[in-house]
Amino acid sequence: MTPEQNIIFDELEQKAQGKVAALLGHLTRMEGAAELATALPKIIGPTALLDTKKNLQRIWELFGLYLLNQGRVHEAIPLF
Amino acid sequence: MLDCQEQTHRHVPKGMSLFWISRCHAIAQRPALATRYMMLALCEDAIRDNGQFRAPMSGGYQQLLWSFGVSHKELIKYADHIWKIYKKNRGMGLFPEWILQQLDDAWMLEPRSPAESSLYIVNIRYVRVLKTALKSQPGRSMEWLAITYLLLFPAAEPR
Repeated sequence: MTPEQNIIFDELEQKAQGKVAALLGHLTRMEGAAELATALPKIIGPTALLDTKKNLQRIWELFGLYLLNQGRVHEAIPLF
Repeated sequence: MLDCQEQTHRHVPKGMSLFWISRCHAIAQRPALATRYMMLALCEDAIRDNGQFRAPMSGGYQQLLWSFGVSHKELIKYADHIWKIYKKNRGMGLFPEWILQQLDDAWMLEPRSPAESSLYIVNIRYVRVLKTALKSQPGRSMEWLAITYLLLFPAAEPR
């Protein structure tokens, strides 16, 4: 992992809880990005994104940023 | 976020997502798409600031200024114009694509690269809204729809 990825992953580990935390394993899998693109909207509902206390928008962003920093830009776009 | 907008009929700030999509396109050697998405991010930032555009807080502004060569004066003018367009029709203003279609094309300084000349990316939800509006406002909606499709083609200048 690059230093940037370390920082992103550390923040994700800190902020992600419950079902979202279970998605962290997808980041290192080959089909992880596609799986995340379908799993994230199911776990984080549309209105939940507006809840600023839970930081869910930031968590979603961090998943995308992790892929972006891995050079997986084509997989990061659908996630953003 | 678009789901949330559809459900609540309220504007949801999408600047962050559009900013990172633009960065992804820039890394993938697609400068025209990167510029377009950064302009969409600027639209979102201008709406977020309710007419009091805070340039230092806008990622779209910073990137358009430093990476895409759009001047400060033009960007401030765009931000002001974006807010005015949004105020006129807050329903359609939920889609930054609709606002961008009403600005001039002076911001598009990057030619399409071969990597993006075969990419035709469109916001399906925006097209769906325009198609629905065809019943109530056939002429205007058809015009927006035509511009949306024409903009997908390389070097197209529909205006």
